[in-house]
Amino acid sequence: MRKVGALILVVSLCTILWAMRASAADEWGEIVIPKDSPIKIGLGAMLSGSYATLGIDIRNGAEMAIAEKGTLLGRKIVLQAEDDQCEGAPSVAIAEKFCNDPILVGVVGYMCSGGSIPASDVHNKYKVVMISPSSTSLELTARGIPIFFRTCWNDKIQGKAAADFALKSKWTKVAVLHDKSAYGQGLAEEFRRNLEKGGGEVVAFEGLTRGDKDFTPVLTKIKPLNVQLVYFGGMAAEGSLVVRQMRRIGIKAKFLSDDGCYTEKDFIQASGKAAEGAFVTYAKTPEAAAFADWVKRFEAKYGPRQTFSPQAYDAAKILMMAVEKVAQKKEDGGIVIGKKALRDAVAATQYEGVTGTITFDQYGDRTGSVVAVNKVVCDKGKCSFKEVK
Amino acid sequence: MSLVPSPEVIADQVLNGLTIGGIYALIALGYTLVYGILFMINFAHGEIFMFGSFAGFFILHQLVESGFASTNLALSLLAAFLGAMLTSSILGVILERAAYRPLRKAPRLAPLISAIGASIFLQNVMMLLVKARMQIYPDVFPEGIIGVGPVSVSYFQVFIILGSVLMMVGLYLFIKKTRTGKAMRAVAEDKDTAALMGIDVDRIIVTTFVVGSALAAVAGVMVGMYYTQINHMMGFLPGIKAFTAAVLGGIGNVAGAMLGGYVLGLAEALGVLVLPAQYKDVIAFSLLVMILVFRPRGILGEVVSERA
Repeated sequence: MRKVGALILVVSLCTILWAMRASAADEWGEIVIPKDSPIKIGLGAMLSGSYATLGIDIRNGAEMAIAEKGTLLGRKIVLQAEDDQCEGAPSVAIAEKFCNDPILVGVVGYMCSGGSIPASDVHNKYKVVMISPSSTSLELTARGIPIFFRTCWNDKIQGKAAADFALKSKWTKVAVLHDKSAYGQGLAEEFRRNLEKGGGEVVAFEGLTRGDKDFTPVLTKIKPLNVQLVYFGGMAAEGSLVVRQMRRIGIKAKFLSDDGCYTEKDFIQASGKAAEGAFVTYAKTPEAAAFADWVKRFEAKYGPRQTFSPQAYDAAKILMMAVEKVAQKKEDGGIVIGKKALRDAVAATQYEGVTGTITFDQYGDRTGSVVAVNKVVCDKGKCSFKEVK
Repeated sequence: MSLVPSPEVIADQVLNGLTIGGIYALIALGYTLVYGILFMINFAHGEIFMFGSFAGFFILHQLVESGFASTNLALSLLAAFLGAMLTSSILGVILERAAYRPLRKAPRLAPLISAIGASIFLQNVMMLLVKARMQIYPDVFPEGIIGVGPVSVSYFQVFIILGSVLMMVGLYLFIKKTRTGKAMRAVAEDKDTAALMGIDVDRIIVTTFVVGSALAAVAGVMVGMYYTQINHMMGFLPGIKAFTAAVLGGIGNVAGAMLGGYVLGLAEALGVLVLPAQYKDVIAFSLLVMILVFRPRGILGEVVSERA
């Protein structure tokens, strides 16, 4: 008797599943938000550890967008922030969890390229949209993954901007350091390629370990080469130590780094006096008054902004707008969102965000991003980033 | 780049090696002292180092905020070091009481597991206390370079090298010349006989933890001031490196821990000259494997009969 019962159960379950499949209007399947259920948005960023300042900044940006929005299609919006540790393994685990959450519509994240790359495979399997505010690695948009988008620039643009600036400043003898991550190393290679194309010479190309605190051995090795510039591809925790220890052992070369070091707290403050005169690349500041206004609102709520909070704010906004555009009400009060329709709505974004006009190209890269070089300028002991015109 | 590094670069790297080596040696001493007496590896030693570093950080931070440090630098530094030593010592004593003493008669694996548990526990306590982001040590120490010919050494390197040597000389005299030191040596040799001779073994074990923890605290404050970033996980890597140094020199042997620390620091700094910089940790641990293959008891390890 029991076996027959089980058989009937299996058969009926299969029938129901098949019926659901057949009725699905979207070829990638649908997200069904039941009546009275909130809508969830996922967020992956490093919330504890060496780069937590960056991750918390991202979370604050997304949180602000959601708080301002209030409700989505009349439902409460829940932001589920998870700590992706800026690494592949935790990001993949979080991606699995997010993609299997029935009321989750999409993800803002992940923070680091090394996490976003493997996580995007998981997202692609379940066809859940992810918009990273901060992963700049070239590889992410080079693999034909349809559900990946980013509100930041990519390292092709960033590496070229840095190399062009070095060449323009006549720093042609250069040492390049990177943190061996998908982000840092990829960017360092892109910088080297562009610099050498422009006639510059890379006399040292060395990796260092994330989490290490002592870079004097490698810097001492570089010192006798008398380079004009040290370029570093990586994050602020290591970048601030590199510039500090460079000065300590007496390397007088200029220091140029990337968006990972564009943080007042973890780069300028952490480097102390050594920060003065350092250069980092980051998006060109939007000239629109809306941006300055946004920064004021953000800082009133969360304190000084660091790096990617505006990009995270825009990412969350884009996701919510796309959901609003494609959601369909069901008779029982539920909401149906087609996954393919949602992805297409994000891809077709035409949005005037706080970071400027946002549209995506066919690969998920943001079109028209401009990366500028910023210099750390100090005035009466107060240091800050100033865009180099 | 030429393959043969210039003598100046080698001299610079030797100084780098001596700086980090001194720090490894100070931490390694804590491992070796405890091992010498209890025959157990105190895997929570890295966390004692971390707590010392944070104690120094809070004291210095307060003194800098109040403006005291700008006029009384030497006094502030002294306060930071003493405060850190006190904090770590108290932690070491608590650890011995709570995690190791109840297991002293247990099989040898039990205190080891207890130590690993204590280590994880302490990391999480600090994470809850200070939040899980890195803290930046205040800049108090004057930055500057002393140039001796083409070789340059920063004030801070001089401070660490001399400071660590001073601590080690102090420890050596303490063990060789004082009554307590003599008692420590006796307990290390034979606990039961020492007890019969009227030595309070429990008190000596506590003293050992206090001394080892205080040395780790000094290393913690030095690391904090030198590398400027501290977080709740900072004890892990130096802990492993210092353990390597202790084994390298011959665990249980005080002079061996000092030597092991310097050998490891120098190997890391000089190895970078011939290998890419990312192999720094590979060099350290390969060295350990080589020493263990050819001299299983470490460089200075004596051949002793198995007692436990």
